[in-house]
Amino acid sequence: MIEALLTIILISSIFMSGVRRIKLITAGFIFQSAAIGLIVLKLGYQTGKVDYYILGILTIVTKVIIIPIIINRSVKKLKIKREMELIVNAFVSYLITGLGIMIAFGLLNRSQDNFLKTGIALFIIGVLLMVARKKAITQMIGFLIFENGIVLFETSLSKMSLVIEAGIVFETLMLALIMGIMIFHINKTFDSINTDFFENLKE
Amino acid sequence: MYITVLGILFLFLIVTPLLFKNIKTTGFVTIFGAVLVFGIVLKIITIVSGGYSLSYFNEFFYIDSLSIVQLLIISCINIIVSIYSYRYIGDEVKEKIITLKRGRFYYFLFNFFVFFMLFIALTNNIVAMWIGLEGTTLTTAFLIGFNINKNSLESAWKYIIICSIGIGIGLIGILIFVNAYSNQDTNQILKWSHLVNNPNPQSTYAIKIAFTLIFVGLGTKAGLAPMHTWLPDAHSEAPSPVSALMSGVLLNLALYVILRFYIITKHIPGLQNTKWLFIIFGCVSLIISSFSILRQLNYKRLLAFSSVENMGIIALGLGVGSKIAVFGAILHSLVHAFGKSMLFLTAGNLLSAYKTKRIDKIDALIKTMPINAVFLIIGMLVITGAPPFPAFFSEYYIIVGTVESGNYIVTALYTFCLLLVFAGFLRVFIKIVFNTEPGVKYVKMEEDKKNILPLALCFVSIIIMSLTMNGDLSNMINNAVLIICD
Repeated sequence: MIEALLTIILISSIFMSGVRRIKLITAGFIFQSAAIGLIVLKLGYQTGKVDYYILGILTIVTKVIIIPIIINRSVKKLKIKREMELIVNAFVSYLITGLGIMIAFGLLNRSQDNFLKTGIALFIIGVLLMVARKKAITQMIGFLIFENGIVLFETSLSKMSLVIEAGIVFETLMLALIMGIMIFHINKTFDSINTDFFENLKE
Repeated sequence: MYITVLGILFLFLIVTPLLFKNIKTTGFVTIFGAVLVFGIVLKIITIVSGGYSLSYFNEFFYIDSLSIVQLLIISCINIIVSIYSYRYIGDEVKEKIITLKRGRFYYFLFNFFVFFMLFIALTNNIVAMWIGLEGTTLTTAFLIGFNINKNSLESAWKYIIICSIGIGIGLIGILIFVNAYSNQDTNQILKWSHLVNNPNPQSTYAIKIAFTLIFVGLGTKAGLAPMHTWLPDAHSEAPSPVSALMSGVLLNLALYVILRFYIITKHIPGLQNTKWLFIIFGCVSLIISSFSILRQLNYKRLLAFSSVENMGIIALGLGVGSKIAVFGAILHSLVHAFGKSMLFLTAGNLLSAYKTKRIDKIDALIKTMPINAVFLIIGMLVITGAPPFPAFFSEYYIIVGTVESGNYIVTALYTFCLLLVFAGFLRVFIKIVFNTEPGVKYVKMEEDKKNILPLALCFVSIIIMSLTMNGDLSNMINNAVLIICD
């Protein structure tokens, strides 16, 4: 079952890397986060540790429910539907994503840990979305994908205390909220959320 | 006990701006709180100063000679900046530049920011240090974009995107780092004080990768070039008190967290090469910033690049690693905190009087704003390392360290960059302060006397530092050096 969920995560991230409509990207993000939450819950069921349950529930509540609601609301208010011009076009993005996944799984092919490989693939895809897209909202979703990779990484690598894990997840949520609020302000002052207009600050 | 008191104090300080409608009360309470924090820190320093260490709450908090240097910087600059903010925010509210609500929001974020910084300096848990750094990103994002306009929002967005990627990479590094110690007791592996005494990880290779990731990731927050690109924008667009706090204290703290990890890796046999990370990134920062300083048109950006340069100096000193160089690095972080805060606050006064950040629009400051002009020149001398001030000694110690270790190329680069920076600063500040256009009559401005108490406090602190450099201060720094060099 965990293999199937990991597949969902990878497929959704490939899907998100080339799609232009923000609604579709958000949908992909919901699928991905739900899969991650279920994986963590499943691990909790297998090992019987409370930490996993709480991390899973926190992930599902914040990333499947709260953050998508925020994104959808701001999309509605800002009246944006899609990315118009991509800095890296869809074809090349798919290629980079594929290469990223190949690198992650190829470099670590000796390790049995699929979480680690998927996590690294998610880092690459997240950073790609942050760098290669112009709309501030897409950049924010890219950051959230990056953070999903960190959750996978965390579950595979270390056993931290609950307070620390909760701290990490909570700060992610706060950062997403802050990005959301800032997108509103950017839209108000620039009349657009294209980061193309960010050209005032030069030497 | 002190930790509990500090916690309650900050809870009170954070809640105050939400409860009180009056901006002056909030400002006053913040100053009062800052003084109390300073008192508690002084008490802690007297306990720890003999080279002892304290730990509280099952070793979650741990104070040693290295953290008291940071505590001292945070608490002093906090007092100075909160006194400055009292007038600054009060005037902005009075002149209707910002609403009362935003003024209260400023104090809320400000106290949260200071809280997270103290948390980083006090904690012993290596992941909690990361949480503190992330917390400072959260709080400063809105402080940078505080004057919601095009420039400030652009810089804030840039800051959030770059720093969150950087700090995410840092977290990956920390997770790999912790995982390399998974052969040890689970309750202990997150504790710095435990890791430093048990340098036997499962794989040294993993530690090497992890430390590199941590260095690059958290180095983004420390403003080391080539990851510094957010810094000039953010520091020039933030309100001046916030730039002072960020540049003087936050950059230091990010470097301090890297240093904590470096101390652990140093004790592991076979990982001596990690010091080259510090040396190379330090040199790159020095070169990039010193050449950028030469061609700046905006005085706040100039100061921001100078922060990059000073972080490069400190990183270089830590990387060289001999006792004298590390002593110089820690002394320099202290001097830089006070000198750079003084310059940024003076720049804030200039900005509120002239309403421009361009260098070519300001002339003959010695006639229009004589008091600020004097502080500007003193601050410049402090930061560039002119002889009577402690920065001269710290930079000199680092030169001695590089010569002793035999890295003559590094010595040459370092001294060359220092010269360039001195030239760049002199060119700009002599132009601002003394240049007079023929036929223009300069009138003394009323704004000159407005906000000079914090500047004087900075100056007095620097004087006290120079006087105690052979006594208490050097004892304190020597204890910190012993922790690093061992």
